[in-house]
Amino acid sequence: MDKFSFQVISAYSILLAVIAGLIRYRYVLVEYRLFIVFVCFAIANDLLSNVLIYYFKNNIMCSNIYVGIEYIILLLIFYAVNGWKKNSFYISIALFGGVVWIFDNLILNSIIHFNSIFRVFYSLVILLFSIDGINRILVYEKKKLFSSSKFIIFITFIIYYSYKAFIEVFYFARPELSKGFYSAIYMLMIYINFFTNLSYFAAILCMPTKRKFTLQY
Amino acid sequence: MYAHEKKIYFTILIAGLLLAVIIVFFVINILKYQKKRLISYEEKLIVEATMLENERRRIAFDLHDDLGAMLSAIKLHLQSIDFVEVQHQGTIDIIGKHIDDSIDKIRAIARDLMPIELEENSLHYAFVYLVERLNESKSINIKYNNLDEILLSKHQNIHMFRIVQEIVNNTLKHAHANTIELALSQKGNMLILNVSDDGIGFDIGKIQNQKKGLGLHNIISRVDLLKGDLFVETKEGKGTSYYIEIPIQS
Repeated sequence: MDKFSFQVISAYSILLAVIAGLIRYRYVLVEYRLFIVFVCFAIANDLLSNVLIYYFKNNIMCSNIYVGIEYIILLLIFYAVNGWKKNSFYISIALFGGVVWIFDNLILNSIIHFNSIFRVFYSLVILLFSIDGINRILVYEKKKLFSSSKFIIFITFIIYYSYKAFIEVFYFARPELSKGFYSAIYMLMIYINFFTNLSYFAAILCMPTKRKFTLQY
Repeated sequence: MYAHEKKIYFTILIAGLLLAVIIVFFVINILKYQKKRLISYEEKLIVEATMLENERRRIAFDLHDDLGAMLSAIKLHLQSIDFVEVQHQGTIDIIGKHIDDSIDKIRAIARDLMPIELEENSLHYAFVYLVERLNESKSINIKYNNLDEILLSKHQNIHMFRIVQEIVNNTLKHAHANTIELALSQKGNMLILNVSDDGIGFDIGKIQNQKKGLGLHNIISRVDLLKGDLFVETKEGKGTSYYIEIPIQS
């Protein structure tokens, strides 16, 4: 299988998660539905990007807008799975993200160029929220972790967004390295993306449909 | 440094900074949750211990007040019956003696469950009672060294008593000891409890690996509840020594 074919398979492997999500949407707990919205949004972006590339040979603006919306959806996911608490905290983080997005795409750079500051910032924020989520699960979860939807989602976020933040640093600083180097780190991203999509599929299958009543101890 | 090297250095610096932020956040976050977990653990121990003590108190009062009183009433009625034949009178005396023994036994069980000394907030006298009762059996010699009453809160008294009860029970069951030495002292704001025996000892590692030792688990839980420390020194064939330090809350 050549690189391009694998790239296509990797990008559209999210379809598995989307199909499972749409089937289970009505049955899973409300706080998990946002994650299904998130994967649907991801595939919609992939499709739109393909259309834009086909007609305009460019999807950069779409991608810059997409990361902004994805950031908000991801924050909503954390807000929901953490029990819809600390409204002002989440609003502040969202607003701060908005300021960074405007600064990166409208003030410092142009939205028609590929910009990395916001991408590094939002990857870091998602990473920190995921670490908090994992620690919370390790302390309070009483069932097997690998059948916990939240655990799978958070651990996947940590893997995906830590690598994303890492490569965005290269795109931001642009050190004079060979095209082969950039191509190699991008290729690794495709493998991670494939793994991420399969994990999202597993996470949706593990989403609970009824709320268990437990105490913290 | 060449210009292109500067860019590589800059890239590494940013990536390193990101990594540092993530690691620092991870450490602070895990410490925060560890603290929360400790609080949950303490709350759980308090709930369990309170439930256990309430249940013991209830059973002790039921035994002493209901069953004990009922047996006394039976004996009273029995004594009020007039028997002409001497043979029947002898049987009645024997039954009366059995009833007295049963009443004594019930009182002893009720007292073990919830010593009246603890209800009156005296750990010292609760220990004196425990030691006297166990020495009566002659199967073991328990020495108790304590000069003064140390003022503790009621829940500390109860937990300290249960700890000693559990250690002594463990020793009687498993240690094949001839002597147990029990010493209670105060060092600054710390209460020191030292219980040692001349028994066969045990392998701590083995007990921990086998996840056995419900008695030890109870002792540890109660020491944790009192925010104290437990030190156990033992070797197979060399006896066992429990050293417990508890901060005093009077």
